[in-house]
Amino acid sequence: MPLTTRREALVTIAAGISARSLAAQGRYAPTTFSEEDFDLLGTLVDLILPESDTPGAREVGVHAMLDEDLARQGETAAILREGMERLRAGGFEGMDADGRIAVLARYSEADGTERTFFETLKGLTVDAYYSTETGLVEELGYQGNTYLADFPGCTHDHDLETAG
Amino acid sequence: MAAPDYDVVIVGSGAGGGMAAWNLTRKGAKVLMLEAGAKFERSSFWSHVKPWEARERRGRGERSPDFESLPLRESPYQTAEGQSFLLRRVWGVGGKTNIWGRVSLRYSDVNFTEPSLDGWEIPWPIRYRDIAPYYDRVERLIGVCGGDDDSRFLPGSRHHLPPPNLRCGEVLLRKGAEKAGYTVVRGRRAVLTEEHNGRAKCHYCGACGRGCDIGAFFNSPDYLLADAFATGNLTLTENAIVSHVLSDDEGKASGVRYFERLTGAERTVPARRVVLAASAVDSTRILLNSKSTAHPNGIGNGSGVIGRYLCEQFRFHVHAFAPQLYGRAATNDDGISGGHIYIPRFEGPEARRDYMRGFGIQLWGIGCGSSAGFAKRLHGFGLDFKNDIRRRYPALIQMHPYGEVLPYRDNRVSVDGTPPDRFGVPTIRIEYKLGENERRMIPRMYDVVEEILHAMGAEPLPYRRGDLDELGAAIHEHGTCRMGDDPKRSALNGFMQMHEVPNLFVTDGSAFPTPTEKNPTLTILALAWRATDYLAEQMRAGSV
Repeated sequence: MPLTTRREALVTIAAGISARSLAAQGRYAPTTFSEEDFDLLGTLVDLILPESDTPGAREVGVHAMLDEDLARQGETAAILREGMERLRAGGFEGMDADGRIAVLARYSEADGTERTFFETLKGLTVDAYYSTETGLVEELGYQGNTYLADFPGCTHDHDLETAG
Repeated sequence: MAAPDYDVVIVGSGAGGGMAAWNLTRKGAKVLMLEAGAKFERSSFWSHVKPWEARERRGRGERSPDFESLPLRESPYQTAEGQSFLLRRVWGVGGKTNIWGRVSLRYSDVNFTEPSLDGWEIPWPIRYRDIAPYYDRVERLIGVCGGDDDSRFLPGSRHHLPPPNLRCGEVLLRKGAEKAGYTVVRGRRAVLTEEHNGRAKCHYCGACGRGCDIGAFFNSPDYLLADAFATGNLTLTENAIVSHVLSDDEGKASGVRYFERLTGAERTVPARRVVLAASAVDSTRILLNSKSTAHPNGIGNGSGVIGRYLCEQFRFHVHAFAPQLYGRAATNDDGISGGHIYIPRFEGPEARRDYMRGFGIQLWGIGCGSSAGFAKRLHGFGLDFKNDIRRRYPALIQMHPYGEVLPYRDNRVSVDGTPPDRFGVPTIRIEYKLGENERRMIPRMYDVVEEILHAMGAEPLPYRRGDLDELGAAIHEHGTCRMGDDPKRSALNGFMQMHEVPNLFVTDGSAFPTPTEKNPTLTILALAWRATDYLAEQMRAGSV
């Protein structure tokens, strides 16, 4: 969706619009990864944390967050690039969802570079997704970093007694 | 050198320097304080910036205060080959008190007398009765919340503010630990759970580590320096990197040399008395670099002990889940940030065991946090993985045992042959490794953690018995300018006054002959208060 009006442009600037929201609208231009890799990265992060009753990692723009964050982390970016190259060589992009999941599952149990790629991808996806408002608040129910007059402590006390 | 304009020159503005300034200025002494960094503006703290907002802000080029990179740029350190030591320093007004962990545990006579009983290195020159009145005073001044427990391992206090309520995971952990036979007490933390001395109470935002936007936990600028400025007796020079304590022909301290960080200019200030409190390692660097005819090994170092006996705690972290909390609604678990409970040391020198000293267990990071880093260590990916993270999120518990490292002569800070900083002053090299005693303590620490996890039915994330956090990570460096009664084996007396240089005091953590298993800031404050009471008396008597 191109920016068509001056008004829309001003609203965008005023909101301090982020890579995430641009990515969500399909307008993010990757700088660390190629367009092709960026697209595959979106597929991969969504396999790690897919849509459930809350949005998945691609929808919240985790791949754009990684593109931004890895601009100054060359070694980590290289691990992802090489892993994606390997996936492509194995025909990953032509597979259906089950096939892709099977490949990632194999990587997650493998040794060496495949495992390193998987753990790197998973770790980055987890950190990024659960730092978003969607991941923390919508998905996990985080209520913190606010102002409380008093700290109530555990409000499940009664239940815990019976469960304990 | 011109005649001194000040009664005392203090180097460093954290707990040790701040307390010295507070106590001396209220007694009427004119004080110049030199601080290597600048003031951290409270209004710039990101205390109420949520994780997703932080990213947006960074994207706009905004930055939160950078507390830790300045000393690494200005004064990088080396470690011995094959060793690592994480040295975390804050240069800036208030030093580490801006972002400290706020754990405030009184040392006990077990801590003070143990070296005399087990014979490892030198005894402390003080006993609990010497410091107890100062613990009382410090707690009344700064406000420490905690329980009414009192034991030989953790002496009680009549001055605690009310402790915060427990999080669900803490309720379960306490139950489990007690079932396993361990005593669990309320955490003791320098956080205001009610208004205290006119200061606002905590609003439980959980962001203490980013600096408190309302100053609801003890920090030197708000709690000490503000009062000191109000006396009219304190002058603070920021961005002054002290390199040397100068001495006269008799070997007494006569002034301080520093470099202006912003201009690079070299300055000298004459001094009648000097109080050094630049943090353990940086004070040691200054002392070792202060060589003169009278002090060829560094000022006050005829004994050769300065720089040696570096010690702190070693620690490790075990993460687990309390299944009783699986799938529960998330709660706001911020509290005062960090643990609301603590498992004090429980075995003294009389216990039958194959190691000396001991450990306590800290319990932070329990419940619903502002990230889900634990998920990286859960198995799998995909929809089940995502749902499992949500299920476990409220159930996270953590245990963090802290064990005492013995003082070893070869664990040391040195400056000889190190690369100079940009002012030509040698930087520091750290040699540090654990010994046999620590290696014997580690299995016992893991045993206790496992007993508690088992008793509460917790499910741990995978861990390897014996794994430790990086050495230095406790940020409690001690021992490199230790106090003691024997001038051949210590640099300072029990009042933190140099044996060889009576007008030079060192009031930071370097003065502690042992690290104990506890966090030091409360004790640094108490000892600095006591030391400067003594200094003020000596000044009145005309003897210093």
